[in-house]
Amino acid sequence: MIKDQNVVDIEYLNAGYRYAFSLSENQQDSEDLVHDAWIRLDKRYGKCPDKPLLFRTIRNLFIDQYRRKRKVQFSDFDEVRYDPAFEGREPGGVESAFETAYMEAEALQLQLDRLRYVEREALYLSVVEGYTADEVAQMTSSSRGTVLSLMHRAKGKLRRWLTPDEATGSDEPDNNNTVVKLTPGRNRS
Amino acid sequence: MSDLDKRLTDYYQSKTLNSSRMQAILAQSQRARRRRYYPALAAAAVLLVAVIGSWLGSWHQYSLKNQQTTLTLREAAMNHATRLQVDVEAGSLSVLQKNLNKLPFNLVMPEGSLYERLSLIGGRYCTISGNLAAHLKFTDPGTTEQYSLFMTPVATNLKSVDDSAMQIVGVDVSLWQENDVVYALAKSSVHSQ
Repeated sequence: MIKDQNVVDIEYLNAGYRYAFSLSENQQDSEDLVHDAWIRLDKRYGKCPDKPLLFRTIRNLFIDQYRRKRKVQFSDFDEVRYDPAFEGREPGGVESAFETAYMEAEALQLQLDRLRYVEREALYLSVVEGYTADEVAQMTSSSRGTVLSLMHRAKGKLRRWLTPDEATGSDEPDNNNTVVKLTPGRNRS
Repeated sequence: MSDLDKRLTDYYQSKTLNSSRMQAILAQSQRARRRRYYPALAAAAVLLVAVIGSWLGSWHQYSLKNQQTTLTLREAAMNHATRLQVDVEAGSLSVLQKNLNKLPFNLVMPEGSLYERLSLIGGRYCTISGNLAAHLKFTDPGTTEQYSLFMTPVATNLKSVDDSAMQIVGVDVSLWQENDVVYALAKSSVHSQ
């Protein structure tokens, strides 16, 4: 059955947005990335031909931005971000299932933020989009071994970080976009 | 699917593009898609205008040409039908040429065997489409029919006349160009006599 083009467009846009989010972990950046990529494909092909091409375009745009930011923002390397979502909250102090789910999502987001973007990307494409390691390797212009290694390392880190006892563990972050869960008073100053 | 995989899937599936941004992208996309057709539409419009313009131009030219031919034929027919007296009576072309000395061209008979059996009566000055012309009158000794032969050099406004023949006000008239001279031959129609 042929899907309505509008429905396909919406599906692609949401998938593109999630993929962009897996790269940038930032809502505004992700919206801009998917917007720019979509318009770029529209101009070139008259429509978005397929999801892998949309992902590739988003990836190229993201890498361009990432390089630009690295050139300009040297001070970001050791920056520690304070997350107000954790202010005044104690582990286990939640009062409802909804709040628990919210807290878990927040925790996952924080830990995903600690991963390198290539690790998040490999996880997203494999786990959420269901691409095989070979396909992910092709989409990211890397080898199958690299993809498998990235996924293995990323999952290992997340499992350790998401275990309550080790959430504040000693794993050194691998990249410059470090996010460390902080409570008021522990902020470095 | 492991618990971590499920958490990751749930986490990312919960992310959807802001609806206002979605609408903005789709609207911009629609505009961009429409704009892709603009050059093709513009080219088609230009082509259409060119074709119509060319057709109208040709039609106009044809119309003017046709109009000039008809006017010349009509003028020759009217000159013949008025049966005006000749200015110079002459039995030969050389005598006529000598007497019609204001003509800026030489009198040359057109090709054809018809003129061999016709007898020249004389000639007069006239105009064809505003150009000075010679009006030669002949008679057919066998039938006593009168013929008028008009000749004038091909002027700018006569370049477009086509070789043609027509019956106008009871006169059979034919028009043609030969050696840079426009000729018109007229004789009264048989059934009108």
